[in-house]
Amino acid sequence: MAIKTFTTGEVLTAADTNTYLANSGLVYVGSVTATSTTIALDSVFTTTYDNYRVVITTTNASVTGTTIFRFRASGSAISTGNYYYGGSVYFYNAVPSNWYSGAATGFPTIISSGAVENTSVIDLSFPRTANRKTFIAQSTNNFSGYAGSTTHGFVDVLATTYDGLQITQDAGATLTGTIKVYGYRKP
Amino acid sequence: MSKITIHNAETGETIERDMTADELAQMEQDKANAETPTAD
Repeated sequence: MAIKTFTTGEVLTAADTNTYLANSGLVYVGSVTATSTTIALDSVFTTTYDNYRVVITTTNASVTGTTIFRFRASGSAISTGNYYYGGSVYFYNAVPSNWYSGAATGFPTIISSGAVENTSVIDLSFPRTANRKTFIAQSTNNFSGYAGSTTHGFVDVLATTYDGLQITQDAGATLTGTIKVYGYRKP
Repeated sequence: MSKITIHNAETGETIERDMTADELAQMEQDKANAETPTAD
């Protein structure tokens, strides 16, 4: 989308409004809200956008374990040891620690052990291109009165294309949450 | 029974179904690999 500088007295047309205002910035692509063991969103990554913002919120109290993010392709989760990650973990009452792994079967996006509300924001690029993918995620957790957070860098080494994503809990618990996906509008 | 809810952003369809044997096997592997850091 080109940038246009309006001048004093210029008429703002409907076309300009649609092009420069209504369609600017992040564009909503899709979302899912559910209570389920696994929550998935398919056909959400397309060639329309290169970069995406994924916002994940979970709200059920005292769910144990860690929320695992996985890409999906053609209706199935990808879990072939293609996920590498490293980052920092902070709790209000503990020494910060590192959290990392290679050849993992998923990305840990939210440490939700005992937490009530969690939000994770992920910026990722080129899920529909057959390249290795690098992206970042940051999550915050509310443990009924105190906080925790993680910041992670993720690498997917499978170099294939994806059209969706899912979250699941590594302890097998039922999640209540929402996944929303926005595309970064291209010029 | 473990469930998976899938929404297709293209068609607008949302389904909830039982997890398949492969999906359940992955979940069991996730449990075995769980390494959740915890607050003190």
